[in-house]
Amino acid sequence: MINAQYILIVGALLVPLVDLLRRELNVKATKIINYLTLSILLLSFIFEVLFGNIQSTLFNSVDYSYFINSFILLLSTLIFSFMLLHFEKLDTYIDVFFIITVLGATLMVISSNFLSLIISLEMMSIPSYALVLIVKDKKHLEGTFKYLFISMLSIAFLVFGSSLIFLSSGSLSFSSLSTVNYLLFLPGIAIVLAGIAYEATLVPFHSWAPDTYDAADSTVTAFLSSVPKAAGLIVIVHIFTYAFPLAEEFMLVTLMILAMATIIVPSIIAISQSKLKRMLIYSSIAQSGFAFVGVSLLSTISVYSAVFYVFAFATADALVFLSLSMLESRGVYLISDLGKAKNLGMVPVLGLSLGLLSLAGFPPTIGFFGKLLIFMSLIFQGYVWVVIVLIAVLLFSTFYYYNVFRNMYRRKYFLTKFVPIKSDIRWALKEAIIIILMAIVFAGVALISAA
Amino acid sequence: MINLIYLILPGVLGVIALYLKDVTHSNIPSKSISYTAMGATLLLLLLGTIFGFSGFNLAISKAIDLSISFNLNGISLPFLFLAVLMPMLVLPSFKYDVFDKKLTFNVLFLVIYVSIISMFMSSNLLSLFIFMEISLLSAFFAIFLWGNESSFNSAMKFLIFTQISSMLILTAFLMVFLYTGSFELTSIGAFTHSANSIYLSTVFMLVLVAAIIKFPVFPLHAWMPGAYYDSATSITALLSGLFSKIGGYILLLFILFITPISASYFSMPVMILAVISAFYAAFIALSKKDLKMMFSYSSMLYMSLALMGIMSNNAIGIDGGIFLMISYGFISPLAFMLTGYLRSQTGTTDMTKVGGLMKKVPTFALFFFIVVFASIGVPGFSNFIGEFLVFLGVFKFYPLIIISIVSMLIATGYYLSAVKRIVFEKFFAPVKNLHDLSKSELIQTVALSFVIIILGIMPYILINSINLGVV
Repeated sequence: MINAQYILIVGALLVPLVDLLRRELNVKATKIINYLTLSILLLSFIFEVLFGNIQSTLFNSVDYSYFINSFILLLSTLIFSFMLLHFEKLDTYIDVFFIITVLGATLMVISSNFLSLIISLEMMSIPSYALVLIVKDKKHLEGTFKYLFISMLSIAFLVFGSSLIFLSSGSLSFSSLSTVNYLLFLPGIAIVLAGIAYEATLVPFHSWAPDTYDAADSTVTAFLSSVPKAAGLIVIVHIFTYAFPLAEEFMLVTLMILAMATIIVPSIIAISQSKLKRMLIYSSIAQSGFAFVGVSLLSTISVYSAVFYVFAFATADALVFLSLSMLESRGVYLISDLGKAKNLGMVPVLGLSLGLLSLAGFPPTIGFFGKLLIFMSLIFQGYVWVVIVLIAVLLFSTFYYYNVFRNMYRRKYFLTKFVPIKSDIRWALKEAIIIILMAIVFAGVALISAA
Repeated sequence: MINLIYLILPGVLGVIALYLKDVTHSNIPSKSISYTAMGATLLLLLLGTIFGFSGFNLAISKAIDLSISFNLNGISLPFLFLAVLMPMLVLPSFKYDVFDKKLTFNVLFLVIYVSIISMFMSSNLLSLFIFMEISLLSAFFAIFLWGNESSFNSAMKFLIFTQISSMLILTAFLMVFLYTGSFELTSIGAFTHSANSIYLSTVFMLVLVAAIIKFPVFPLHAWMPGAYYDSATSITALLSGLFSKIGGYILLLFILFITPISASYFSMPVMILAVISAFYAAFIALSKKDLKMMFSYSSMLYMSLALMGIMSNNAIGIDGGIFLMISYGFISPLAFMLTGYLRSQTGTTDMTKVGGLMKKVPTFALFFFIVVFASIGVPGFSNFIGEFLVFLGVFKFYPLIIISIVSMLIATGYYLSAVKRIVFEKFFAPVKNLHDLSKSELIQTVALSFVIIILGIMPYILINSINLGVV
């Protein structure tokens, strides 16, 4: 059967070959490579929907990986087409790296062994350094290096933790960890958690994220903060449901504390930001913490709600940063610029507002349903106080979200003084992508049962 | 039979029509689209009351029991009547302070209209919550986009308070869902109607606190003065006339259909709180020199009385509470509309700067009399029936609470002194050249007063539509 991963592997090999051929034949147009990449991504999405994931000893699908991989591939396709429209000229190596990153993310979701996990994590993160450096200047280089060092550290942690787990249980497969030596096992889990937490930006391992995301181009930020992050979150869900029911109480306390810290600390930092992008980055880090709350409970409902929340979060994040990229091209950098800039257009402004509303958990967006499911599982297990704390933090974060709205709608340039600009096919296509994402933000409710 | 989904279709089509108008740069005024949509809705409601309604069910997600289901329960008809008719009579007063972004204003107005109507019809608690949140978010935008300078802070305060109450309501709904496994009102009622446990009492308490915020009633009313004072006239009328009823409606659902036994435990403390709130609001209103502020606080006073009736634990009081909410839902828009008129003519609503308007603008004075007498509860106006039933129910519950009638005495005091200041005495105003109510304003005021008087002399048309026993 032709699975999505095979398509991506073939694509990752095919694209450089075609590029080489192009160079040999002295063809100047690089667009053809980009379109090839786009069609490979689209094809892999279609095959994922039709045939599902690969199945082997190292990679084993669980019931939600089909859903997660489908939306990862869909989001990647949308974001890549947005990047094609955004950059005048996209270097051909970016195409290859993009495909490999997506491949790594989809493999990471279905990996059932520490070995395959480490390999797919490497496969996902190494090419994404190059994605950050998509524009070659000092600012982007700084972000890339921060990302590089931290990722190296995280891989080292992961390898070390896995070896400890191997020593304690004699196996690297998630499903065969039954009898363990706790003296080595608990440090092993903790170190593995730290390793993945770097990738999934859990507080206190998040410090690289704002700088890197800020340095990268907004389209790349949209990709990095949705697809690899979703994969990282799902891996945490996966490991801690399938591999570590042994250390349930330890995980509950650790993950719950980490999750609460992830929600609270960046929310507070976000208030003082005057730069729109940094504010969004901090709030996106904070909002991703809700998924961990779901994970930490380790019940069936809570895991499924976490999976759905990851979907809701990644979609809203992509929507927010893609809209931001459109706004940035019209000169919006600070939050206060939103009121001053002209010709923002309705679609990016609406996209940003909807994305923020979904992140803040306003009905009837999918963000609301994601949070609803998580609260439901919390109340079901008796953690009403956690719900109350989370609600308080959510109210806290409304402050800075609605501050954005004030700047967006208060000034007179919005809607009334809208001067029609020269129609631009790229802009229109970008708007189309934003509209598709906005539709997903509403229609995703139907997927609750799919998750 | 009229399907309930038809009631929201005109509003939705109106929003689409407004969008198309913007795209095609057509010259049709936005307000005429809104009027058409609302008129069609009103017509459908009247047809429905004659030929009967049929329910609408559309399951969206089985996993969390989310469905768009519109079925009427025993109390939704009066609230539906208010929500369909009142915004139509309020919309004309947008001319006092909405000068720009008229299209956006009409869109927001229609969104609020549709979502509140859907809220009163929803029999699925989750979709009820969703519609409520949409209306509250739209109200947030409506407050700060067309308010005065400090309106953003007021809107923020409004949003944060109502968000807290919404979250409490959501927690209560979730607890009910985990108890019964359903969000559907009928199936919840079957489980919980005769049950009695600490769990259900907790649920009721959460809803009660949320309702106290939304009414607003004494300790949690801090959002009210700013939100009412700083927003535009028509939005203030909507807030006091319609949004303050949301809390009451949800509280009534719990009292009547979901947790009636737990509700009876809370009757006495809430009653005392409501009495305190009524006196508090009356005394604050007595001290206010600004007309809009005075009307804001007196709206709080009547909501406290309505809460008293709702919690009185007997059918008369609950009927009275509902009647008072509906009737004041028509009086306060008239009051705020006259305030808006006064500001547009004289530039101020300060009662110390305006006086003796009887000679210059007699029609305004007439309707000011109507507002004041209707509010005080003169027989023949709708509030009399509501207050009478509320006090009857309260007396039946615990005779001593009847002292709350003294708060009405204070209300009479400040209303009459306002009449004395504004209507009688020697004429003085910042602007000397005043115009009396224009034709459109006359239509608006006459329509509102007509409803008030009709409800006053034929209260049975509203009371007969209330059926406390049926989910």
